[in-house]
Amino acid sequence: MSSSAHADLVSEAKRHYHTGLAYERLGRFEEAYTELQLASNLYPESAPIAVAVGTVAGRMGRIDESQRALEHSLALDANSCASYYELAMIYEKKEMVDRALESWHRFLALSLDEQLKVEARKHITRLETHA
Amino acid sequence: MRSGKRSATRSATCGGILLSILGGCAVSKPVTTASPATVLPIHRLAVLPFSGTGGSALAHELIRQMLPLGLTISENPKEADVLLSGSMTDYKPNNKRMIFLGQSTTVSVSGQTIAVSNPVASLSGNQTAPVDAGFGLNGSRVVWVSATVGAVVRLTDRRSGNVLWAGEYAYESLDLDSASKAVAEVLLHSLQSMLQTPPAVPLAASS
Repeated sequence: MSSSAHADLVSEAKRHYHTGLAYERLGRFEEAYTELQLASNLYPESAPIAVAVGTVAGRMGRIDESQRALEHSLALDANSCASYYELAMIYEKKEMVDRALESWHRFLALSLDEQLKVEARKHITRLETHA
Repeated sequence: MRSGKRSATRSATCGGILLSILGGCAVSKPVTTASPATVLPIHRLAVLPFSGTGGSALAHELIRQMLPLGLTISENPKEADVLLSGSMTDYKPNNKRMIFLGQSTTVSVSGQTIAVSNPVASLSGNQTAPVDAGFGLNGSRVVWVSATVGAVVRLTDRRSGNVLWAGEYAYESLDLDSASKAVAEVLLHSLQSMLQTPPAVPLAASS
């Protein structure tokens, strides 16, 4: 693919991405999800798009789709803080304890938000003690 | 965050009370005793309705998790030795977390500038401050929503009214069901730690 054709694809992906985020802010998750998926199909190398797809899918209750998108985002960017946070909750819901623990530990290492770090430690304690 | 303040369970025993939850057995085993006059074997437990939104769901979850443990649970509080009651401190389906998409420059509490990928903010406003985010343009963000369930639970001697144990816990999870399940699990674990089922009687000793 020529560089100009690639640039066109990225530009089109950005358009769908921002349209999707606009729908998300309006609470129109179906439209947001569709737009973000279009963006992801056009530009699958983008970790932020994958995170956006996973986050919106999670809000819609599409847990499996959310998990897939977030795991894809980590394959693109192993330091994606939000991906670990959201995946940790999904893994907990699915009782995948080892993966949940690993995700919480990675989130704890990356996050700078003190309140969320307290929350992450609490999850780690519960999973290590009770699960 | 409120749940963070409630991260630890607390338990308290009322001295001089014999506790023994029996799974259909006629023998009781003391856990703590101070005076024979105050000995109270527990054969039956009743779970009262929990006050507050989500109370019935959490009470139901506690009963569901107690049944496999062999505890005798009565639906009639008048037939029970002890009563498990509680009130909800949290039942929120929509804790919002802001996800800043893309590479962000974040200022830490100490003032240090750090590059982070897709940072998450708790929206409390005093931990982190992403300076720039998102796929070539500022302001790309999306909201993640989770749920929090919290409760205070008490085990009370029906006859004397003494509180035998109390626990408090709150937890954030993907949804209310998952959070309720985790809260019930932790509270029950704390309650169990002060209860002992009767030891198996060796055949030679029973003859």
